[in-house]
Amino acid sequence: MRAWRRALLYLTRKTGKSLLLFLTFLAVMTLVLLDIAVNRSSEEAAARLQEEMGGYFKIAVDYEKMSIRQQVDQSLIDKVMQADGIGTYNAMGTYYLTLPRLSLIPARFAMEGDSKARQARFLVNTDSSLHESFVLDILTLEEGRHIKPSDQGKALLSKELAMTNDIRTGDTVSVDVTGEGIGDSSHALDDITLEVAGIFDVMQKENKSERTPECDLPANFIFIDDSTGKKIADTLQVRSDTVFNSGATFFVKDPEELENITEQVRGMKGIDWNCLKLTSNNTAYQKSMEPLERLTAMTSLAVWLIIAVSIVLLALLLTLWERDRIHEAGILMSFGVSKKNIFLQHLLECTIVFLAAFCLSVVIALPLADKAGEMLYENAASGAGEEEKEAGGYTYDLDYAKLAEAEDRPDMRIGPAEAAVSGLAGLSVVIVSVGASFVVTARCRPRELLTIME
Amino acid sequence: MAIMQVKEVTYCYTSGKPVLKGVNMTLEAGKVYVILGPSGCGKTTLLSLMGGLDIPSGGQILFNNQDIAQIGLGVHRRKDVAFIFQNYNLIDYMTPKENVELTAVSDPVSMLRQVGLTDNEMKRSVLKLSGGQQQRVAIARALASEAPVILADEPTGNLDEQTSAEITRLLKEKARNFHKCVVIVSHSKEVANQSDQVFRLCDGKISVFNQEQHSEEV
Repeated sequence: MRAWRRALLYLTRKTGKSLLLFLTFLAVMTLVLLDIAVNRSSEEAAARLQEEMGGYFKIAVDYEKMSIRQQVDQSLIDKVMQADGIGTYNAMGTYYLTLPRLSLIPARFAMEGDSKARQARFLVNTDSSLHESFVLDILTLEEGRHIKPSDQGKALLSKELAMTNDIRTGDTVSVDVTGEGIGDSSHALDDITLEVAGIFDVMQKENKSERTPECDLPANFIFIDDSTGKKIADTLQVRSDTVFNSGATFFVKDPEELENITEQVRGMKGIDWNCLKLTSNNTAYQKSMEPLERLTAMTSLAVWLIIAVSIVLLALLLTLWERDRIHEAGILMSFGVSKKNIFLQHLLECTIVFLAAFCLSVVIALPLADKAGEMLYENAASGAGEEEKEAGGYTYDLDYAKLAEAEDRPDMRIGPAEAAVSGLAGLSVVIVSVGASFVVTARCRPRELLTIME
Repeated sequence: MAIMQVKEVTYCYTSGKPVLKGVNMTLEAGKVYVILGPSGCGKTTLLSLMGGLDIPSGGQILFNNQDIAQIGLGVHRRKDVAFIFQNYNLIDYMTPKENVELTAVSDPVSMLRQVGLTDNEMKRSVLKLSGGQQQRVAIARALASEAPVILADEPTGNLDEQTSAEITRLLKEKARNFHKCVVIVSHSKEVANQSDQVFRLCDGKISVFNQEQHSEEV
């Protein structure tokens, strides 16, 4: 009688033992697959976060220094962009200009009856989506689109400002800018026509006090494109290299590499660090990574723990099982069945049960993985949700809870490769466990086996 | 012509204590041999050595004039000998038919019928059979293997007198029909009386026992 037939007879006749082994395999493999699914999704989320959130560093003129010999201009930006690992940049400038035709959100100067109550902050951006306020979700785009490097005459207004002045996306706003304020007060600009490309909303509560001027309210910020910024600079007759007077923000591809990249930039020749300052920030990334790292560590630990426990459990179970079968092995050997053949029979039995349990565990683990992942994300997110971060002079909250939201959380799924790897790993555990439990039988002579059984 | 020869076989336990001290036997096909001796004298050990279940410390066991060590103990067990044990040693998750199929060269159903099992009994679990029926299955399994030598270690030890007599008769009858050499280790008078030759194992030595001596001793 061949080994496979003996194996099938054993499995079908010893249903209790087969069921026990099946349930053990099923429990272990379902747990392993669940863990792998959660682990994989948290790793994917981490990678996505790494890509989307990114770390960044900012180079700006250090106005505290006495002599300003170098500005942040396009040539400096091009030089910095040559450093390895930088993905993109946003160059920024700031102008405080008076807007006689628009009503700003009133604050300190309006109360004092000061003419500066009409002074708004114009924020020049090559790419407004990369402005720190948008990156950190202090501001979010409600309508329209962000300002891009190729734009000309485009603006982003706050929702509050747009509502106050009855402006919608696509409207053109003719701004009669009078140079009064921080810019050159002696010049009056021609009309600048700006098309409202988008409307943003201020997400974080403003730390507004009685002393806050109009131009410091985010609701009064007007984001404009680089080309408009140059036009303003030309009209104000300021040096063209001072367009990016607020510096430039450089986004790195991998936030983990931020420190190395900034070191590389600091070491570049032709940059005068005596009048420039470099500040790096990957706080948002690091803080957002905390729950994910916690989750990944937790699931990795769980995988190893489950594997270790299952090996011990299986070895124990199969050793006890094998002890019962010394009797049978002795009988079979007395009829000339080889030890190899007996081992093959035992291996086939466990493999058949394992494969059946593994297939079922895949079916069970798939729907369970999503539920388990959701729970774990919620737990992980709740641990970090109350933390507040301080950056760029604003207090803001990072919305950790959104990690738990279905649309932001990666799908909990088990890929064919992972399933195959777990299956093979499980099969290896089965082979090792069956092998270990077969040692006693393998070492004994047939007569010893028969004596033991007697 | 001798089918099996035991030549100067010695065997020591792992403790070093000798059990067999130069045993010599010659066995022929179609005959029934019985080995007698006190408990612990090494009867089962000798049977195990003849069946290739263990390796002798010294000497040779020849099957058809070839050393079984050269044949290979596994091959010897598979082709040359078949065992019948006192406790039947049937595989408990198999039916009688499947147990016989383990070794069967010939048709297991016909063999089971020959030893007196009904078709219904053949399909039952072996655990649901009586001791006598289980031993019949064990005999059928040994006969179905078509091994020329059957080694039976106290085959009636667990059976009542009547069943024991039936089993012995069956074994002897089938051995003659199938031209087998049967070696039985037994304490039973009935079994010894039905044998062609009786050996006596004592103090590690074996001697041929004649019927008169046997009757007196029994």
